[in-house]
Amino acid sequence: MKRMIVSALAAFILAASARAQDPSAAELLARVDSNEVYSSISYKGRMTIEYQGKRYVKTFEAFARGGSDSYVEFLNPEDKGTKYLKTEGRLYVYSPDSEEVMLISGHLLKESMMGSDLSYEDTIDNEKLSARYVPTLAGKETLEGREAWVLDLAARKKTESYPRQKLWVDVVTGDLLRFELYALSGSKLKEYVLLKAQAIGGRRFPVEFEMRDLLRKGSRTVFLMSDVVLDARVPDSVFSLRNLER
Amino acid sequence: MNAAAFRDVAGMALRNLGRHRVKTVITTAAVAISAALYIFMDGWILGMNLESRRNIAAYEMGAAKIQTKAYFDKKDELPMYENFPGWETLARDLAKAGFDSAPRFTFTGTLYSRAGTAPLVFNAVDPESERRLLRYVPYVESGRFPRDGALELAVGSLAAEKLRVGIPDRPTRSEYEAEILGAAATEEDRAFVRSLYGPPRTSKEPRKPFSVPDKAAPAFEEEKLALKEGVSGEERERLWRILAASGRMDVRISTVIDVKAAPDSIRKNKFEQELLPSLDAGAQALVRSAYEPDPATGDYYLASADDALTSRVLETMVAADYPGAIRHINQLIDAVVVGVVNSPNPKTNGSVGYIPLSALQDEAGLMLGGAVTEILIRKAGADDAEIPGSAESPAAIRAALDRVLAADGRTFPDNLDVRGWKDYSADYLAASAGDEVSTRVMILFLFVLSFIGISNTMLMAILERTKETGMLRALGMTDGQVLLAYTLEAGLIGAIGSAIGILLGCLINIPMVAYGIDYSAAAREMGGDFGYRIVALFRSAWNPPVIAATGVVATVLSAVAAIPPTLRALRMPVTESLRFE
Repeated sequence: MKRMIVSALAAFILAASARAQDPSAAELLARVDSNEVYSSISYKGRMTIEYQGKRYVKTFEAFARGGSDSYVEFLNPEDKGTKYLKTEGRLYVYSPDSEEVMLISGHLLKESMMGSDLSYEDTIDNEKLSARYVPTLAGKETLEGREAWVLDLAARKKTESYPRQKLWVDVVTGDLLRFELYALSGSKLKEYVLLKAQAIGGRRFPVEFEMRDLLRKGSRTVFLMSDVVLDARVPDSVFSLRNLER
Repeated sequence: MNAAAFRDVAGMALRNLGRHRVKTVITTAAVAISAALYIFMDGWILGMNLESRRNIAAYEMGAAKIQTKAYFDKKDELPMYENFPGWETLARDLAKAGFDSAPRFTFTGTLYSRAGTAPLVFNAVDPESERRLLRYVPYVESGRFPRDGALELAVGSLAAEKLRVGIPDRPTRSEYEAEILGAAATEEDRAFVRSLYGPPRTSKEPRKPFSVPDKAAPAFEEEKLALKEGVSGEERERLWRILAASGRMDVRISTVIDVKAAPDSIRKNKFEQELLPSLDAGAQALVRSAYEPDPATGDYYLASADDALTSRVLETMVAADYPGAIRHINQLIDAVVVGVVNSPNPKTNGSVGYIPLSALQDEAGLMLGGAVTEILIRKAGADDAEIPGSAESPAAIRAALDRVLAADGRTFPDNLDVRGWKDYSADYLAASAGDEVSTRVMILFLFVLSFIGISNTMLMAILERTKETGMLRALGMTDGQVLLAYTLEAGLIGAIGSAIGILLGCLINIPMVAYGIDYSAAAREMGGDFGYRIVALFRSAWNPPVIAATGVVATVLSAVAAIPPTLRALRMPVTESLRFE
């Protein structure tokens, strides 16, 4: 999720440095990567999950630092007290019902996080795209009336979680308008669509977007972020296992 | 005591049986019922256990498996990354050693059908080897077993029901209209489908007019139809084709391919605070020899170009459970269900799928490149009715394999191991042993209760005969002869009772061994799994040592039951005994 957010943020920088000539695929991808410019972020989030004709709303508070640490605490009555901590590449969850901290690893990482269209693995993926994928500029397309560069990414190694990705980057604003994640067989697994980006602290930031797990029929999850604060100091204690159990 | 005196005492004991007919009949009946019940229950438990053990070997895994040692240590997690290549060579060697084998690659995933999803354990198999080694293959109740090289799937009957694939036996009216009848493209096909389904048979259960309504039951239960009885194989095949053409059998396997891969880079804190502390000094030195710190960032990068060293480092990381050494690749495989398995072993009929190994070799599958997670083994020509014995033990298999390999100057790979079916069924065996103990304790309690009854009957009988005892002693019978007379009397009751009990138990056992009890309806209610490896037909087995021992124990216990009240009666002085009223 964070990569999606920061990718959209980087789009602002892309737009600022827009040039007359077409950028190369590598340049576009490097700029998408360079979006990870904030040292920390905190925000209040709202996740609306629509699945099997039902609608679930979950609210949470989130903190992240650099590319390696993040902490999410759910606030809605049904999930109140459920906390997630990602640190040192490991993802832990605290459930108030069992009062236990559980490490999410292996095949569990593929499971849906809190019933949303995101998997746990999607939330901990934070390596640079340019280091993992070979980009190809596949042309220009118009999405909802906005012109976008289309980037086709092929994994450098066969061990990549999503062996292929496809990105749409707004030509004018640099917003990451959409991306798609593919399985090894070439089947499309997930879709991301930007719904709203706004200027925060002099940057363009995606504050509302939709994620769809295409294997879950009729399912979509809309993320809405508010009270976004960038580059403010977050205490170390937030990203500790002790905080998870508190 | 001489023989003549013993004959007199024994004769008296025998006559006493007739003199106290009511007591004799009641006590004999108690012994007979206890013995019969014990023989019946023992035979039933033994039958279920033997059948379960046979079914584990015949339907699930053969007599033993070859896996990597690392896989066995984590076998409950089904670690697909602990695989090994070259199964064909090992299979040939096993054949030379007199064993059949079947390769498998086991993985987990979610199966998506048009109507639902279900988490499944998938067995990628070589159909021919699987058919030769295991007995579930012919139990494809609808459709057929997958063909080599095709992305075809056979699923367990419970998974098929949940995913609404295959031919439904009892569809709801709406499912029938939309998915079964709706699948027929022509009027001829529609007429054919209509001819196969009808109203379900009425339940034999009597109505309960005054029963309390079940609050949990839905207020409205949708009408169900049933596949008519006696539908022929050809008719099922035609119906399958009609349903398959409508897309009902089209499925997608969503899984994650776990592969071992040495990370190109490891963050400084992860390397120093997580990876290194989990290794011993030797392993630390090995990892440090392959990774170098970046002077600018401090992060560690894989600097070694030596594949052998990288491979050793990777194995060290995996052995230390370092998560960065296992990569998870998302995969989605389009397949088609071609058969539904419903065998006598519930494990083959649950949330399980069978897919040809050869179809998963490339990037459209699982990039297996010839690797498997296990090779199942059974003695060539082994009798399915036999539980694998010493000739199929891991040690025997390994010895035979070693001889074949040694003849070619080869050795068994170090990273592999042969383990027996009991090693993989330890949980089941422990649970069944626990069940057996608790059931036996229960039966033993019944046994003890019935013998308390016998003791009580004997006590009353001997008390009633206190005067008679005194008279016998006054006439010159020794205390030992009186004790022997009563003990023999009780022992005779035990012997007659146990003989009747054994006869009764055996009579009950004959149909139980030959036909058993069909619990299929109850099994369906319980999700098809009783805990035993039997689907529906619970049959008993003969256990001659226990039958004989039951007779002996019942006789001896009955005799022993007479001793305490007789001793009590003998403690009374003769004069007092004669005055006893």
